[in-house]
Amino acid sequence: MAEKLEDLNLPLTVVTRIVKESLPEGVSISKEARTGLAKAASVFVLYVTSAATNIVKNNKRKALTGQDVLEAMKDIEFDRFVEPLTEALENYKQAVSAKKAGAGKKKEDVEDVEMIEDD
Amino acid sequence: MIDEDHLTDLDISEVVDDTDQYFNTENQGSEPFDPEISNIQNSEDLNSEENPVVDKKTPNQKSEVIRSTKLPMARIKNIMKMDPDVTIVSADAVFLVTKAAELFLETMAKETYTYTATSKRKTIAKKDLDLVINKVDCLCFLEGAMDF
Repeated sequence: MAEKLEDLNLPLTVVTRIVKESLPEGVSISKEARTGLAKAASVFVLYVTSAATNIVKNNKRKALTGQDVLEAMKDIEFDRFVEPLTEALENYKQAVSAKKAGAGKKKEDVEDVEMIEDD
Repeated sequence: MIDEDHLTDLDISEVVDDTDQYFNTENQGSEPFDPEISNIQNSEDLNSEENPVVDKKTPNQKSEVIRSTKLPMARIKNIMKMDPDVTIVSADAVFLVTKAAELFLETMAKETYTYTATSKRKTIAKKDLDLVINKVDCLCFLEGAMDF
């Protein structure tokens, strides 16, 4: 059970960095507040997941997709997140497909080398 | 769209884990000064801040276009799996939830700070957090979650 509790927490250093970057300079955060924010973020993840799962169930589907997450944002009154999230998703998809294209090219190179060795 | 019949044979880890390989390398901030990349970048590109085409090969350069996450997607995926109703989760969904959590943290931090500033302090305390949770409607899901 203790292992599960740790898994539920997000890395404190990353949380601190995100929080500090969104605050003006000179502002610090108490250790308790930092832990509290990390916990809040974890609870938020569960909350969004639950809302998204409800949408999936209502539509009698099984897979939780990105679209369900965006819909869930509206349900839980976080509409203002939908636009930046949609944009981020576009960039992420571009990056992933670009990486796949790069990986495909590398495979071709390896095959050429092997053919030469056979000769 | 996603072929659900195909997906029912897969476990969550199969759907998402393949893509984790991409995220792990990206999140570690590898090779910002790859020689290949510097050849592609022109001075024009460096000067213009809105140039998504450049970012196809220079994902870590521009802070304008943030396509990776700061929070670890694997851990977010584990938290999502704790929901008993969750069966299959797409990689897009995990990414969006991770990004949403980051946005949430930013929003929380700023909101909480307004209360800190009102008390003329410069250190955000837990009581500021509690105040925000009580006052802001959409944060009601956090009530009681902070008791630790």
